[in-house]
Amino acid sequence: MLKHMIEHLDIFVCPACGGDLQIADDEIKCLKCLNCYQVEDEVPLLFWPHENGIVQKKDVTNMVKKFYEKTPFPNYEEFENVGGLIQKAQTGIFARLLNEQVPFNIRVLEVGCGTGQLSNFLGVAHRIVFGTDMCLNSLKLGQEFKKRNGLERVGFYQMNLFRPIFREESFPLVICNGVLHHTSAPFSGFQSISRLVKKGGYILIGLYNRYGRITTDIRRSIFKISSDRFKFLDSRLRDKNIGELKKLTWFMDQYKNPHESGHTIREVLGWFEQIGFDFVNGIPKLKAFETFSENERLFKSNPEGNWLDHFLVQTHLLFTGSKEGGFFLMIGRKKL
Amino acid sequence: MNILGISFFYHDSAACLVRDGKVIAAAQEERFTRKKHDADFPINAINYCLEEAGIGTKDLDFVVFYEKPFIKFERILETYLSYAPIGIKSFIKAMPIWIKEKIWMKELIRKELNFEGKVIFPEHHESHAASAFFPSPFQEAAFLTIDGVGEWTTTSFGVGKDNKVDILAEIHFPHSLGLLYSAFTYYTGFKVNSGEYKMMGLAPYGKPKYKDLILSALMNLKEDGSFKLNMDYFNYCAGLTMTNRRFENLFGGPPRSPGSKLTQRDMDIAQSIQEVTEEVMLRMAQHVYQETGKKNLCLAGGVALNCVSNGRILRESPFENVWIQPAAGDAGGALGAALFVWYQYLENKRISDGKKDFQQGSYLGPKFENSYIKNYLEKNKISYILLKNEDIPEKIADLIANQKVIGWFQERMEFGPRALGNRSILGDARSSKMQEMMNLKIKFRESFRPFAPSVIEERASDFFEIDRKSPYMLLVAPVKEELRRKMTKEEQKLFGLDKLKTTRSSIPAVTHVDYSARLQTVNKDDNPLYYQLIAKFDEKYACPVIINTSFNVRGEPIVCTPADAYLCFMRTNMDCLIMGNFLIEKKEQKLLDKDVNWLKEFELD
Repeated sequence: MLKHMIEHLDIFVCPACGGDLQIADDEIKCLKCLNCYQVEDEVPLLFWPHENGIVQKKDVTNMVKKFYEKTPFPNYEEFENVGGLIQKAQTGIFARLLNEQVPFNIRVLEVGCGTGQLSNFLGVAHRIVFGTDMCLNSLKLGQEFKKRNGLERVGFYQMNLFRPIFREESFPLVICNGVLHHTSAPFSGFQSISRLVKKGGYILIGLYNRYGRITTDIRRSIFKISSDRFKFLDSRLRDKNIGELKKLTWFMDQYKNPHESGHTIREVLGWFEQIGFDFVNGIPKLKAFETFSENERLFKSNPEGNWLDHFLVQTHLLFTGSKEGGFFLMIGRKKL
Repeated sequence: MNILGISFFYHDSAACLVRDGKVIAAAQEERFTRKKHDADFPINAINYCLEEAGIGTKDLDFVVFYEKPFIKFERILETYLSYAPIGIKSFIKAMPIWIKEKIWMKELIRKELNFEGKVIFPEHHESHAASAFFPSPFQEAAFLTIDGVGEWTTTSFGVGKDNKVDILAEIHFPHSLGLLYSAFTYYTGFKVNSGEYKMMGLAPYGKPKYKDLILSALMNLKEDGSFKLNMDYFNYCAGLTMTNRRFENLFGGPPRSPGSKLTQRDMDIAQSIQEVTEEVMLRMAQHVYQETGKKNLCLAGGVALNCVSNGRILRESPFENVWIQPAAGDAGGALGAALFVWYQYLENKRISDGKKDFQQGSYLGPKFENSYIKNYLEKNKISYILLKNEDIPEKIADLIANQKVIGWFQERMEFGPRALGNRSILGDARSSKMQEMMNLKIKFRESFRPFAPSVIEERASDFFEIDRKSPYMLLVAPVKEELRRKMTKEEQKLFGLDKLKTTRSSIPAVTHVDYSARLQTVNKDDNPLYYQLIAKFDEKYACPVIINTSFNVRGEPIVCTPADAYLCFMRTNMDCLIMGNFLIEKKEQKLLDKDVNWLKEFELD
């Protein structure tokens, strides 16, 4: 049952103490602290809370976890097979480029994979993909899709990103897209997952941009005071080609999330510098007036730009970014 | 004498080089650019053809474009004018490219190729007719060309004799069987000019409930197969869609949105238009026979890729022999145009023995030597096993028998839309799960799509109701009665895609729900290695039939180079890849822990 985990057991550690794990009779046990971890629907439940197992009432992690358990995002409403997943992924440049440019035969970690669409997509090709999230209901959807479509190289694991279940420097690529801004301490989260990147490997971080998010923030306030009466202000919510379930999950994710923070390009560059990563690429590009091409080499080094570039890029995001949720993405390479 | 035939600017750009009447090379541009149905100027295909022939553009005597752009432009203008002001949007969209480029074809060709010699423009359907008759094994034959539209012509028939093709009659735009079929392709939610064969594959799941409606409301079909469409229901003359609101009202709803679930109604519609198409083609064939009195028939044009109709023409029309151009669509126009100049324009002699055609198995594309493949594999640190020539058939036969799915990359690439055993994915036809498994996990396409069998030529009639060869996979024949499995009462009650769950014969993976198969007969002279493989499979496992599907995934062109093949292999759940003598097994691909080259590793060569 835990074939994926057994095959890669060498990189797993106990989230509570960092000890080695053992699998026997579909039960996962730490050889050091002797903690046991259950498995549900073939998903190992390796989530471990922040501090000594005590969950506090206003713990952001717990709040967000509860929210996503109720509203798994994104859903698999429109397609049921790999063909549909590929088709969907190919419509966006980012997923297509990733699939084209991430080498085969490597281990890829996606932190905060949600329902695992990107993990499953990347695992169609010959890569070993580890999709982790704290929300079990989302993971179950990913696991179900994986199972139905025989994507054996993909494994889903419940994990708290502040309590990783992998050894340090296990992955040449770690993806964490749209996750850190829902945590109480995004920089600590970044620190935590950056340890999992091999030297010379890449990290890909997607965050809400402080400026790109302004229009969404305004809409959220309007929705709040109008009891969600003006949903038409969001272009996705008035798009007739989008199904109702998809609209609902978008609405919940964008406007009802219990916690989110906004970040700037300069801030993430600072994180990179502090932890020992070189900036490689960004979406949008960090130099003003440079465009992200359809054939962009994601892992090719690009200039960081200066404060004026960042100002212009983020101002541009203010006007264009809200459609995609005011998002920006940065790729860094861990120094050798 | 070197003649370059080219087709482009509509869909499926291609080039073909003919030297002294022999086709030296032919290829579609999409295979090089990796853009499916690429319509751009086929510079890569041209370069390949020149390279294969060992010449440069200065050595070309003629360049032939497959249609007459000015007449086509006239048709477009006239059509817009007759519908104006309706269609202004489509007019504004189409005109700039016509005025800027398409009508200046001669200049464009000269400039692109740096060519000073003669550029010739046969008519679109002349090119199709030439592609149907000149490579055929017949000295004399009737021909029938049916497609969407060329200049004005949508259907033509005539006689090919010695070195001439002579068109006797035509049907003109907007009355087009190809466009009628495409309209339904659009309506059932598939992509026009590429999804037609999907609709054909879907048809057997349905019932012809709408056949009478199509024949009564949409078209006026005559006894001789000629017809007129009722243009009140179509939008393709001036609009940006194929069908209009009236069409939707007639069939009770809007077009299926691409990607949404297929319903029984979609299947019924597909079966209805399929039967109408067969009816029209049969009537046409009957009429052509009466008018020409020839015993041989040659087919070309996109509609000639409708292998179900072709099979019925073969079985039910009075013609004794039927030969179909494997690149029947516009790509084949490049080949036809080049041969047209060699035979008809230059009046060179043509002698055929009535048995062997001149298409060379349609293996007219690039070939990659073992040294090239080895270099690619080693450069990219890909583990492989080197097999001796004589070991390849047995090794691969064993793998297939062990339910492995094999990427098979050998010799020259095929010209035309079908993979004929050089750029193919192979599997065990005896497996009842293989069809669904290969569709969903290898090809990533709809589960209803059937797979085609390759069978060794001399054993074809043991498995299929066919008494002749079908080397180009363009004929559909029923699986032999005695090999079929009788359906239980419960199974008979199934309808729609549930029929997929039943095992219908002893070769279930290639038996469609109506017990038909689109077969390829493999000849030991045309493709010796592929023949040996199937023969070995027969020897060891008592079955001379295997699954042969094109080496690509949904939405991508068939692979051309070793790099394309390797990428496709690694991006799917194929188990093994054999390229030349090199066997690559998925399970042997080692995890890369160090030295991952993120920038160069898998760049196409």
